[in-house]
Amino acid sequence: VDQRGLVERARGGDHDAFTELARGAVTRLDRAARLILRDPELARDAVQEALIRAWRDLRGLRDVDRFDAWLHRLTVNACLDIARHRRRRVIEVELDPIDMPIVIDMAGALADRETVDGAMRRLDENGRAIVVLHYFLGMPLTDVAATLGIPIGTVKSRLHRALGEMRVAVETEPPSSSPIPGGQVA
Amino acid sequence: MTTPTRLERTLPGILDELAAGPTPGYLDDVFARTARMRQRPGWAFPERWLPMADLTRSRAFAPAPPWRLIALALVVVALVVGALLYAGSRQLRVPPPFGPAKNGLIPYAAGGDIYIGDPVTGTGRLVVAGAEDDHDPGFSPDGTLLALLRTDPADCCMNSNILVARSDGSDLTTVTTSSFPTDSLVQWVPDSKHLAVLHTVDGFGRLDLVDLNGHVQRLAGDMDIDSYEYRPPLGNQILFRALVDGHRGLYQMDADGTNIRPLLLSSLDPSLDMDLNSATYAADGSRIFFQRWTPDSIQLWVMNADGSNPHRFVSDLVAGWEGLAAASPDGRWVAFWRVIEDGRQTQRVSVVRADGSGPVIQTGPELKGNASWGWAPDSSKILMLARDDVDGAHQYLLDPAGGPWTATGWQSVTHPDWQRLAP
Repeated sequence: VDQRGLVERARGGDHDAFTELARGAVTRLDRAARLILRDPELARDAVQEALIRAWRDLRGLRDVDRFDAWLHRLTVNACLDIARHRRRRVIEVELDPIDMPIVIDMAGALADRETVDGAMRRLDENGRAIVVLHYFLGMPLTDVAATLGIPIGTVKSRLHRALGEMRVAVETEPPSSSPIPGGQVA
Repeated sequence: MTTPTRLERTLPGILDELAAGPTPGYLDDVFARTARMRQRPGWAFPERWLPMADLTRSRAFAPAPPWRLIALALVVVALVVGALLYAGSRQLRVPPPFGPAKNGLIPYAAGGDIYIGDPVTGTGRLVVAGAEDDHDPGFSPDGTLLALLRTDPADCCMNSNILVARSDGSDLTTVTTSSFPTDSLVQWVPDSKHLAVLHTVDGFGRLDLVDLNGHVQRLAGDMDIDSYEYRPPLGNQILFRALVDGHRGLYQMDADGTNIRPLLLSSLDPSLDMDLNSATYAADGSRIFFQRWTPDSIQLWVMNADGSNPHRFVSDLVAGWEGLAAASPDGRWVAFWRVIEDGRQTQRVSVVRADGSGPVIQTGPELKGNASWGWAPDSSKILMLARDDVDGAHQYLLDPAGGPWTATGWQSVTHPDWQRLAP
């Protein structure tokens, strides 16, 4: 059965069809949520919330061919909701390696997974969401804008800023063999 | 080849590696819940029938309430409550909501139960037990009541109710008549008779005031709020950060939600969340500490409580990452977090005089993960929760003067809270 058929059946209240749809999407959603939230437990909460909302509101989805994009939107919104609340939790700091103003050879650092990981952590969740939607889920920027409900110009400017911050981090990150402890506010 | 091209080209592959992990195993929980949950019927999505603009303007008809009867009942209730309060005040001395107080006990959650720890002996006592998942305990400012959140596992842990007990855990009652999202920020109001709940409604942060009978009052209407704090010494004003017309700003309102006025507005893109973040009052309420974002650093700033004269708090510190101020109850000190330029760039809690002068003291262990902290009621200690991936979560008692620190005798991820007692 193709996805369209499954969505149609799930919209009609077929729980088995929804189960099949969810099983096909959960790994992708979980990974995207973990990239945005940088916390596997919070990511799990976000994906569960997104799937529950998907089941509840599936009949409100007008275009069944947009099911994947709609599910991505629910997941990203759940991530951003959780991140907003997480920030509010009194005074909490996320302490990760930060950069020193030392310019080093970028060729080695670029391929360093930890370097990009640190750079991702330095972005706020809105920036991470755009990077994840565009570079991890492969969405065109127009779809990213639709998913996040913001103008395409805003998506472009935020992505430009996020990549700029990541480049700064990558360029100034010391070699992974000798990380310099530092910090960033969560 | 330029760096941007290489970064963007390698990014998808690296993100794929970073996100790699086992297939999540929690789907059965989701399916168990969705199997019980009815879908919203198609006709229940109003935009299918009517323009949303018309819907948002519509008002529900409600019959006029019996005002005389209500007024009479309120008078009777007020008289009874007044009599009870008068009798209670003769029996129990309580501290004022702000300022120095005597140190009491420390509440914490472990294994879904609530304990009260004695910071002197290092021992904890179970006060609320059961099969439910209880968490986030907090003493009322007068030290007489203990609030906690109770999550229903059958609800996929998404929603919680607020419960309140006496300070020893007895007389536990559920306050809320409908649950809030589990990740809502719930804090006591200075009057110790209400709790403020910051939660998300349709994607917007709303601040509700809940009394001990579960009655809810929305503050600041439809403003999108993401943090708040009551102003010492009276608690009659609320400082809050909100997103208005695409810009973040610090605002102040009266405690009843009226007289909203801006204090300081950010011209930066709201995605730069660190700007105007973590705003908090000085101990006497005369000033406000907050964070400012710059392209090179996050700095701790201070301004007068009316929003005038914003400037960096400790101007001669090397630029880095600093902020998250917490004023000591006696008004003498401010604890904050910053990168320490000791050749290794370590993280520790720093303490400085409340006017920003004098030496900056580093205290407590080096921080490697998450951390949050608060002052002891008598300002003699700082209670800090530190978490990292290697050592787990530990609570520490720090010496504000930079002396030795000790670990509490219990392990918990509960954010620091300390019972206040009459001096």
